[in-house]
Amino acid sequence: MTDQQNSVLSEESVGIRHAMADFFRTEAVKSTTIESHGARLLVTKGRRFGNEPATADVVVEYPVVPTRLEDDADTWLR
Amino acid sequence: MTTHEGHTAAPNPARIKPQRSVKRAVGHSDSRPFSSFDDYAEWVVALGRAECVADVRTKHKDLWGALLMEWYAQGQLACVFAQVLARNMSEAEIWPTVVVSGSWTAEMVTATVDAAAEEGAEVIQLLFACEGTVEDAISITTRLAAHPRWASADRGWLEGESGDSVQIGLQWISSDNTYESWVLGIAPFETMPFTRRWIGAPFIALVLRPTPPATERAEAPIGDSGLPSAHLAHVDDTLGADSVKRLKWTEGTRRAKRALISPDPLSRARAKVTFALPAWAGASLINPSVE
Repeated sequence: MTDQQNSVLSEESVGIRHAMADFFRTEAVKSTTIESHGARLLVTKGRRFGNEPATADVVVEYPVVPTRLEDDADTWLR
Repeated sequence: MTTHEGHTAAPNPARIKPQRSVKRAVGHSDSRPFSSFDDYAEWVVALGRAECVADVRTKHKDLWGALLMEWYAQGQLACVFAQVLARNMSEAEIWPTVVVSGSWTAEMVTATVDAAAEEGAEVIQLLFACEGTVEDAISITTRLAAHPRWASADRGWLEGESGDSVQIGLQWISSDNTYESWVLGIAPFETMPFTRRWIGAPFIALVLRPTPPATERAEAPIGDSGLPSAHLAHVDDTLGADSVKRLKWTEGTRRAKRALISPDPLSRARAKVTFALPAWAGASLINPSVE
């Protein structure tokens, strides 16, 4: 990567960070599109599909299913 | 939809549910149904939010993040914490989705994660618009891992397991170089563990915590970079001091994960694994050629 490319990328980076910060801090704006050097970043705030009620409102129960591992503690960390 | 008075009314979303065309065997004689991306796209059309499924796949990218939340809420991810958080998600919470398309660079993606970190976001979802193939996953991984703020590694197998896949972990490194964050991948191709395989999705998702580890919530192992690792178990579960419910959700997650992944190996669904790829893909990632 050349110094010139580094410089361009840094500029892009700063622009994207500013645009994202503006978006987060403007409550009324729900989505925004940032276009830069042929890339398109469509940013939306965390939400489910509109205001519709949950499509699945009960936590599904599962039977105990054995695994080949005696200890699967490494698969998660909570 | 037409009322008796002849007026057109919006469909009642409470009565219209997405189909669940994906069936997963659980144990010897049971199964659970889940929705594919196209099941959700048909639901969006039925609710009058899009003209056709193809439009949801190609034009309405602004809906993808919200539909991914619906998929979490349905439970295929197995994590009860994610399921409940997704159901209760509101626009006020900072959990941004960024749909990445066109000529993106790792520098741009890094900037979006940095911005989310600065805002204190618990999670950011990066959805890379693509066909969702193994080759797409390799391309995303190699392009990001070539950037100094990202790294990837072969996570291997848990003792007692083996198979015909390679488990790749991708990490993002914070701008102040004080922690790394493990990236969870969601993709539609077959070697992905069932809990992270959204059938038919027109994207590959990278989900990560951009903010520092919260060690009061979960441990923060030292990662490959020598830094403590943030991961999705550090996300605020909103339970406060309710340790009884937390234990119940923890046990529910363990049980769901074992049930939905078995008989496939659990090694593919670890917190520090981003993609489970076919074995042939390993060579591409060990000797990457960045586009």
